[in-house]
Amino acid sequence: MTVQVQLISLFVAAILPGVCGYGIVRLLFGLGHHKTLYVAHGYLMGILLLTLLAQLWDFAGIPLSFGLLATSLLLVATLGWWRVTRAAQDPRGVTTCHSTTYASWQFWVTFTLGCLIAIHLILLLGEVWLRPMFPWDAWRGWAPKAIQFFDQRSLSADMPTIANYGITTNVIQMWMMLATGETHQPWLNLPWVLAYISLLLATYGHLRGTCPPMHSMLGVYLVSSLPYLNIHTALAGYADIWLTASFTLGVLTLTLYRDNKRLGYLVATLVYVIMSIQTKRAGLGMGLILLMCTLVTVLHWTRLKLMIVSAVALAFLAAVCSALMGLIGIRMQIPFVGEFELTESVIRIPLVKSYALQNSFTIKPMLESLALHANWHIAAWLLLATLPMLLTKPRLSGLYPVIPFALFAGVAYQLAYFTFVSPASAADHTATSRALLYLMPLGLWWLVRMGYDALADIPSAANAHTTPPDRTL
Amino acid sequence: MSTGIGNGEFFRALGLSLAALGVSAVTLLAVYLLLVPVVHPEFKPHIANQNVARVSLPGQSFRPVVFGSGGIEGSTAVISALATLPPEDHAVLMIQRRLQADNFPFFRYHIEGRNPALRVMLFWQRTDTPGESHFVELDSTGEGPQLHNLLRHQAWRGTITELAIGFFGDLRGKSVRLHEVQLEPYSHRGLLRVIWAEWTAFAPWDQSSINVYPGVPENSLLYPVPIAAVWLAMAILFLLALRKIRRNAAQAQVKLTAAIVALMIWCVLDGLWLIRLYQQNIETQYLFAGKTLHEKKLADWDGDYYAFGQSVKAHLPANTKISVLYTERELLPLAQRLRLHLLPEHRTDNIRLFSREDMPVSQQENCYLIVLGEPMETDQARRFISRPGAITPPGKLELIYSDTVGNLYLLCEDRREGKP
Repeated sequence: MTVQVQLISLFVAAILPGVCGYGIVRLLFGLGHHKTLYVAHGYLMGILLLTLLAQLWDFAGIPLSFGLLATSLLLVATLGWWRVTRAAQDPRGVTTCHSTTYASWQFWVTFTLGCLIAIHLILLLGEVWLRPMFPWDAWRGWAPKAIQFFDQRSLSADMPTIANYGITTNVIQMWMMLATGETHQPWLNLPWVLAYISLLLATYGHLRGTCPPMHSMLGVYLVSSLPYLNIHTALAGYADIWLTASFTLGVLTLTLYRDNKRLGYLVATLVYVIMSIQTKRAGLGMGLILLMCTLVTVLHWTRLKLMIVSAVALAFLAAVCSALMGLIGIRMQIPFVGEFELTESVIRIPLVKSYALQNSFTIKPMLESLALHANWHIAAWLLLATLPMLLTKPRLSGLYPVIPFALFAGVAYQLAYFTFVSPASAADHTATSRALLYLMPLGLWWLVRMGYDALADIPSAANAHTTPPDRTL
Repeated sequence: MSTGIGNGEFFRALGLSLAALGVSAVTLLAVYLLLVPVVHPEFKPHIANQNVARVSLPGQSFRPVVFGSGGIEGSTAVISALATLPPEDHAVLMIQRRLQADNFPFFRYHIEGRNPALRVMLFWQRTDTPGESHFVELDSTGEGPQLHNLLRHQAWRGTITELAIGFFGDLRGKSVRLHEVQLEPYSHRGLLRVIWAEWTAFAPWDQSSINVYPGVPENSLLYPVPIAAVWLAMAILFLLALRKIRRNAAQAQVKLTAAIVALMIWCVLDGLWLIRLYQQNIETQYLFAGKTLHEKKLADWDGDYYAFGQSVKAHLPANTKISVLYTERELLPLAQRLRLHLLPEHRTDNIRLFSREDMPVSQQENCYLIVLGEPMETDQARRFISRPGAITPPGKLELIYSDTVGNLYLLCEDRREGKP
């Protein structure tokens, strides 16, 4: 393959999932959102579609190739694009919030923030483009497995490197290899930069629904400058950025459902649940949290329902506590999946792993990661400062309640994981920051969104949707 | 916030936020310096010794102990080549001088020509542990005079008899120049310079980078993030106090100013991060820009293992399964790196620490064996494998390829086409 052909293949492989996903997202989300929102979701959806198609063809015993995957991607996406083409005749425009007055200082602040975002992006792209596979688990586990997938043109690896740890990363790497015929080139990790860009575009797109460009750009800048997110982009090869993106976009999709009860949003959220679970083991918990968020958002909470759910939740918690205290043992045979087991000493999750339970966790590493280390700048401190606001300002606490729910559930899940399953990975800081990464972009989005409402003195977020369309930025 | 805020109002808020930041920074600094004995009790005895005269040691006063080539230029010691000695190329400059560690918490050094591949170490000997060298790696903080807090290291105590500066790694074709070192007593100015040096210290990516980003070297005096949070809180308190005093300031104006303050503090922290990311980019460009994949791999941190893998590939037919024995636990990551380098042509599906118990497994499965480690140890492994008492002695033991990384052996007949 010549260099030119390779570059074209690289370009096609990089954008094709996004092009295909865009159509599907337009179908699911309908019209009326900012374009950046469609592009962000489109890329993630395209990647998930790619993962599912690769598994489908592999299950059918058909050797995987770039042509096969690209063609099937395009075929599946045709429906969405056909809908997009039809919808283009629809007279409705893009509905985004706009400022009544747009002073020049806002332009310059927006411009400066844009420049800062561009600097981060250029520096990260330089790292990904030039540096051969660097981070530990990437060369120990993910990449060797993907190279075997590529070599065998199937999702099987005769040399074990990393076990049933999620398929998304491997398929993405294999996809890039199939497109370019290369197995070790640094630029095969370009999708990690695209996942980062998707997160930024999603932040912008979801904020633009209710905030002016400057505030939306501020949200993008805050997310783009998170050092730990930058590191997971620059040192590409880990699965965490994909889980971060799928969880964040999943919860943000639910915020759309609050204003418009469209079935497509729920379908998209469920797609992100699948993606979270497929990405890595930790994604099982994050996927379940996303599922819980969906239920919280969808269900109409009458007093009776609330009482029933509270009773069920309390009974569930009591059972879990009893099992952990050794009073009972929970064993459930799940059809077609296997046995779930929870006792004082072990938790067995079917199809995933059996974990020996421990109890030697200390909160210190997590607090260090949040409040001392430079992973998130002062994001954790700012989020902490919003807690009193949640209690004292009912209007703000009622703004997208699904987000604080998701954040608290995420933290609770991580505390449980580090307490019972892997205290060692918390103590030596191998996993605490990665676990917090899944939550931090969402936390920042919420911070900016709440901050806008708190600062703007506008009565409610819903009012923003009634403002005339604004096609700027 | 944007609705109805004109330029004038914004610039007033901007000015006020700058004033709040300035006032709170000065207050924070004053409070911190007052509380040094409480926040950093290790400095308490040193604060009493502030009047001790500093000790200046120009580069020319150091005696080269180990080096490749170099000399003295004026008052500067110049190293233009390191001595090629295992385990790492290095040069050491030494001076014998008796001094009390308790008088000097700060070490000022002016070294020109440092690069990320060259580690600079300070060694010292004490009267209570004669013959034992204590050492510390000096953070990389760029060109020009830098300050290091010696109290980060518990071994800096008692009577010092000897100091040495060691350069380890790669000069990258340039000379490194030691202009001067100074041992300084405690001073507020020194303390603040040390903090700034720690906040801006640069270390290239390592294998822990993907797990956590502390932002400062280990045992640093202060983390920038909590300081930034306190700074923000003080600035907001200042704004609230100002509103109380002026009585006429609108709440919206305070909110806007507080938001600007928070953003500016965020930008300061981001500036520290961007400086580091930029330095890393320069290093990455130096190592990999304009190179082919083969050259990039050779320039990477495990380039010799990649080269070994390429040699193995040249000696074996495609689709060969290889066992790997490593002779020290620390070599496991490198064995796994080798596995990556050998893909997709070969599979190293059996990577084990060299031990008697593991030998039969290795021999039964694959006809090829790589033993990683020092030549002496690989030879020991060879003798063990070929010993008649081994549980499953190999059919043969033929050395196919050998270099400093390890040895490649043939253990049984490989009847495939293209066998070595």
